[in-house]
Amino acid sequence: MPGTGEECLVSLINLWYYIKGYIIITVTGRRSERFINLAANRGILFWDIYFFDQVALMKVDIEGFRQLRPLARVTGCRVKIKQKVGIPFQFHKVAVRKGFLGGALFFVISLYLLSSFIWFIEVTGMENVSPQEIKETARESGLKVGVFKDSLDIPRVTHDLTVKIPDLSWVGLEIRGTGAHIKVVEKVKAPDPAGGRATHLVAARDGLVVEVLTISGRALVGEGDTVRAGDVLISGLVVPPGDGEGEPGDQGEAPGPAGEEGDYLVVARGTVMARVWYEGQGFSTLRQKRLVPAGDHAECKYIKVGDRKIYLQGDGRNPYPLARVQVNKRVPRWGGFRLPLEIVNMRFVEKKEVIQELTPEEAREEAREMAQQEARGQVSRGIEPVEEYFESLDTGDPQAYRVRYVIETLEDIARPQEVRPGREDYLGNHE
Amino acid sequence: MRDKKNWRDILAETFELPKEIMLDLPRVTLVGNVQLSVQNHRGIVEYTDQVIRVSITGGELLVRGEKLWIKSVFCEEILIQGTIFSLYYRV
Repeated sequence: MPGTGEECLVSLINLWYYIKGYIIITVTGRRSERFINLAANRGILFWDIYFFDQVALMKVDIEGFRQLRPLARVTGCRVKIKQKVGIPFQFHKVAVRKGFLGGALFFVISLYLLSSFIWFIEVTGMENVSPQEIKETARESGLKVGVFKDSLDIPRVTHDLTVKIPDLSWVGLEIRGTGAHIKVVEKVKAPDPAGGRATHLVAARDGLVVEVLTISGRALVGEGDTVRAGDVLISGLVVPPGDGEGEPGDQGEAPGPAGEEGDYLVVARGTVMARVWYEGQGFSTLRQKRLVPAGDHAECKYIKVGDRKIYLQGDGRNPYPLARVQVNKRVPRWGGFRLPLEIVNMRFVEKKEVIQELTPEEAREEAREMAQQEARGQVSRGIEPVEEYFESLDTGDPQAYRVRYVIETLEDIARPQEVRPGREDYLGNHE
Repeated sequence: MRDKKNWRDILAETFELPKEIMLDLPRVTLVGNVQLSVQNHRGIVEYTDQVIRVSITGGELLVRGEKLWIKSVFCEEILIQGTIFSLYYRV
C-alpha cells in the first residue's frame, strides 16, 4: 500500500521538521514562483506550499529562512513570518522567560529542601505519659521540628525514649514525608510497691485452713489454723528472713519500704484452701396455714403507652381478698423496631387459706428442706459441697420442729485487699 | 543544438540508457490523481490552487486540478498534491 507508506513517511518527516524547527511564512508578490525557483536552486527547502488570494503560504527550515532575505529583495516579494514551529523555538521561548525558568528551578529546589526537614511530630499510643514529655525527650535526642532528615539517628531517638521515659516499653519512629510519627507502647504497670497499692490476701469467710500456697507475700496462716472473715492470710508486707519476723507489731505505721530496714510491700498472691461451713435453719409445725388456689381467676389486659394505661379488659384491680398475680408484658415489634408501647396481661388467681395437718415426719422434712435451701443459698456458685448433713434441734415443743442443715465446702477463701497504711491490718497482724 | 540532441538520442537508444538523463527530459510520476512528482524540472512558472505550471526542458507542463498544493520543492524534484484533473504538455 503505497498510500499508507507515504503517510507514515510524511508523519516521520513532519516529526523531523518539528525537531529541527521551521517557520511558516507568507509570501506576497506577483513573482512568488520565481522566488520559489530561486530558493530551490540555492538548495533552500520549501514544503507544503499553498496558494490562495495571491498569497503563498509555505514552510521553510530555519537555515533556509536566513538566506531568504536577498532572494525576496531580488524578486520583489514580501516575506512575512506567520508562525514559528518546532523545538528550537520552544527552547527559545523558555530562554526568553528566564524569570519563569528561574522560578521553576527555585520551586523544585525549595520543594526538595523543605521536604528534607521534619515539620511535624506526632505522638500516638500513649495513655498516661504526656505527649509533651515524649516530645521533650525526643528533642533532647535530636528529633525536633526543623531538623534535617538525614541527620536524624532514628535508633538513637527510640532508644533514648525508652531509656529516659521508664513508662514506655516500646517506641517506634517512622519518618513519613515531612512528618515524624512516634508510636509508643506503655508498660502495663505492675502496682508500685511504694505507692500503697500493695495488697494482702484476706479471708472472705470463716474457715479451717487446709492448704496454703503462697506465690508472693508472706503467709501468716498455716494448715490447721482457724480463720475468721477479714483475717489476713497472706500479707503484702514482706519481712526478709531473720528480721524480726515474730514481732511485726513494732514496725510502726510508716508506709512503704521505710517501715523497717529491708521490709517491702508487694501484691500478695496465692491460694488458701479452707474448709468452710454454711449453715441453714428450718422450722416447721404440725399445723400449718397454706394458701391454695380457690378455683377462680380474673384477667386484666391493658396497653401501656408511656405513663398512660389503656384498659382493654378489667380495671387492673385485684378483685379477690387473697390472690396471686401473674404479670406478662410484651413489647410488640414492627419490622426491626420496638414500638413504644407495652401490652400487659395480668392474671389474678384467687387463693384461700387452709389449715394443713402434717405428720411429724412431714413437718421435719419440711424444716429440713427449708434449712437446706437457706444453706445452699449461701454457697457461691460453682463450688461443690464436700459434705452435707443436718440435725434436728430440740425446740421443747412437740408441735414444732427445728432443723439445722450444714454444708461443708473446700474453697479458696483468699481475697485481695488493699494495704491501707494506718490501719491495723496494714501490718498483717494475725492472732 | 538539435544535432547534439539527436546524437544523444541515438546514444541512449543504442546503450539503452534512461532517456531522462541522456536527453534531459523530465520524469513525471502520477499517483492516481492525487499526487504528481516531476523530476528534472526547470522551475515553477505559475502556481495557484487550480493551475500549476512547471517549466521543463523544451516547454512547460500544465497541471490542472483542485486544491493543489506543492508538498515540496527541491532543486531536482517538485511534488504536487491535490486533486489532479489533467496534465498538458505545452511545447
